Amino acid sequence: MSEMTPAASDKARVARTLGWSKTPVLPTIIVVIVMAFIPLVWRNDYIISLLVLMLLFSIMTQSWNLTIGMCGIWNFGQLAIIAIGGYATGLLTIKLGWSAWLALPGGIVAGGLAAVIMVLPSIRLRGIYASMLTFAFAEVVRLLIIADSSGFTGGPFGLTGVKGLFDNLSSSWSLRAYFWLSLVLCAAVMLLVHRMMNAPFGMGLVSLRESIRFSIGMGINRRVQFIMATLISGLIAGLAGALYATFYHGITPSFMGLGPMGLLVIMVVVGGLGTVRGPIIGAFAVTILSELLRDTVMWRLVVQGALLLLVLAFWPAGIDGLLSRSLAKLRVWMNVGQQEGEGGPQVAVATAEGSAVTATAVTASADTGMAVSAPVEPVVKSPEPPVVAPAPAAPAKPAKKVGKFKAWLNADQLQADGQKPGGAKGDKKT
Amino acid sequence: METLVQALISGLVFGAIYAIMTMGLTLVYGCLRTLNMAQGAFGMVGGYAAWVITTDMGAPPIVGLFVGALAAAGIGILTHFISIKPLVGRKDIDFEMTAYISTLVVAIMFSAAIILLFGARNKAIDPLIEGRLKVFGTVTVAWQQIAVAVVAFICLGGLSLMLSRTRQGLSIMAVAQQFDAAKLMGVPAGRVYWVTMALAGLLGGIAGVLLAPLYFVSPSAGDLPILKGLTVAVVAGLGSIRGTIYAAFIIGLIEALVATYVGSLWALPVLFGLIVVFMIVRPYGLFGKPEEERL
Repeated sequence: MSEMTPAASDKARVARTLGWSKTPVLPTIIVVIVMAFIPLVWRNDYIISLLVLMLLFSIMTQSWNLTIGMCGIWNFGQLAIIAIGGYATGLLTIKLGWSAWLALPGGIVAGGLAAVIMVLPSIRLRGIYASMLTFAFAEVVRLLIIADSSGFTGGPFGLTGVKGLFDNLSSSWSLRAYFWLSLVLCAAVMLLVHRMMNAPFGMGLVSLRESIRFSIGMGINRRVQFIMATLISGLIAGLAGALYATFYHGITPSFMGLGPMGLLVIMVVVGGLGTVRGPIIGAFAVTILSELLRDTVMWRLVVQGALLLLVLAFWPAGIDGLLSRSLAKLRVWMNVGQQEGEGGPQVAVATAEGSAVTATAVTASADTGMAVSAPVEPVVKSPEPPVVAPAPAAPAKPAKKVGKFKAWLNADQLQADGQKPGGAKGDKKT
Repeated sequence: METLVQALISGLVFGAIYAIMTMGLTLVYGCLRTLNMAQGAFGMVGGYAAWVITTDMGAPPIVGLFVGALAAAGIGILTHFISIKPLVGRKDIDFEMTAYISTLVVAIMFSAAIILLFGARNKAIDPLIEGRLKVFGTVTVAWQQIAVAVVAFICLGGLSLMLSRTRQGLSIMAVAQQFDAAKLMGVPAGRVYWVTMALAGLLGGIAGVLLAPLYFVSPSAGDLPILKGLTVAVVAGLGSIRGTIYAAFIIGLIEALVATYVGSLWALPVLFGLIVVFMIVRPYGLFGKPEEERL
């Protein structure tokens, strides 16, 4: 800290007071390195495959949490996105004979595209309607795959014979390689999401979740934000699906059913909806719990469901919320009698740290951000300036389709400016 | 011509069942602001109760209908107290989303519990009335289908009478329209909540028992009905009673026509595709209101 130039440390301090936490790169790397030794020490293939499953679940829940928790888009079709990533990878390796490493990016891209296609129509919709639309999208994908009798996707029996990423290794080493790969990817995804949520872009997402009108008033572009968030979430989901399909050498339509969806919902909520660490904690906790209940398979769902109801009733912020709250209490307890001036706000911010910032933090940062943070980037910015400039732009008619699309994207801003939107007509007037 | 008439008849019958199923969803959404994902599970539990009473104990099917409906009503009250009541009025959560999630999980728990109790195998159940009625040519209608339509219409009529004439029904409407004002006028909101859930359970149970002879009674018997119910509710505009009835028959007819002329495997995908287009054109459904107006 002492080597830092005063300006840099000042910037960091202001950023932290405003609730922007630093990306925990070093701690994450340490945890990853420590965990990487697990398969070398604990030579139990079953345990390792379980760990791989947990890591895959973590990536899936992370991708889902990005839309449902962080942006508040009621997306209940995420499993279809994950499955599309898996199916795309599988089909590329089987039908075109690509190697799994080449097919993996294909799965990622397919996931991103599918997510954007799914969410694009539901941007206009409010909460439950959006959930129904995404749910219906997932059902259509599932039913179409089940109804497909041409043998292209394998129909109800699923796709089999997908190439693995490490087929040239022996099976136990391939398992370990998968563990290391998914460990690194899971950590990378977590860092990415953390970085994103502690940048103007992520702040804009959280602010949109809390109040759409306020955010539009602050100049946040709702459509661009939602589409970008969905795209990133879809890319991550595609990655998870591709890893899943190559790891198990296949994927079935039952992966998109209500059962797995319930499982993922339980993971996300138990871990902590809308937090960065929550989905990972939830995935690990729920998988461990269901492994403990392995002998009584049918009791598993009942117990997991009861867990979710308890968490919702007593700690709605999930395990992560519980952890960060007790951590904050611990800090208060440790800092008793020290630095009255600085200790106060620091601790108050600590509760919001890591959990992607509650409503108060957002408004606080938005309110004070303008006044205090000259060194920090202004909190909110719209990625593009409004298309229709005030006065001097004489040829202000975007005749091309691109121009129309841009106008549609910026419609909220135009409305907020008191001008008629170009493309969208259905939005209610604010 | 004859296939068309056959398709129309089955569309009307299914529309009637969807109407009473979805009416439960609509009531609960209008009154409690919860999209009750456990509505399908109510029907499933009702089907099992009817199966126990008729096939195991040998009671006549009509008794099965009543017992199934009552059991489902009980399950509705249970659902309210374990999954919705703990969330009502909390400031620290997004009520609609958490209630959606908690009822979804409750539905999954119910089907797991049913598997524990009865096993995963399908159970067949006797129809209310056997035999078929010949209309003309090759067109026949199963008496069961007629019974389904009659029971459904009795339920809908009874419901509308209850909502507009009785004290309990009026208090449901009052809570749905203006929660705070209703409370100020002395309507016991807590009781209205669980009564509404019981009513939703009753309707779901009746729908479940009526559907049971057409399909089977199985632990996943609630999945398809809840999907259809959601579709109907969204097309109708959530919380609109009039819209629910229109939308139920429209969707029943579309589904029957697609199943007859394209193939039954395609009925659902085509239906959902149409719904997606419809939602893009009209985001709040047939009779939905953008603002928070209810019922």
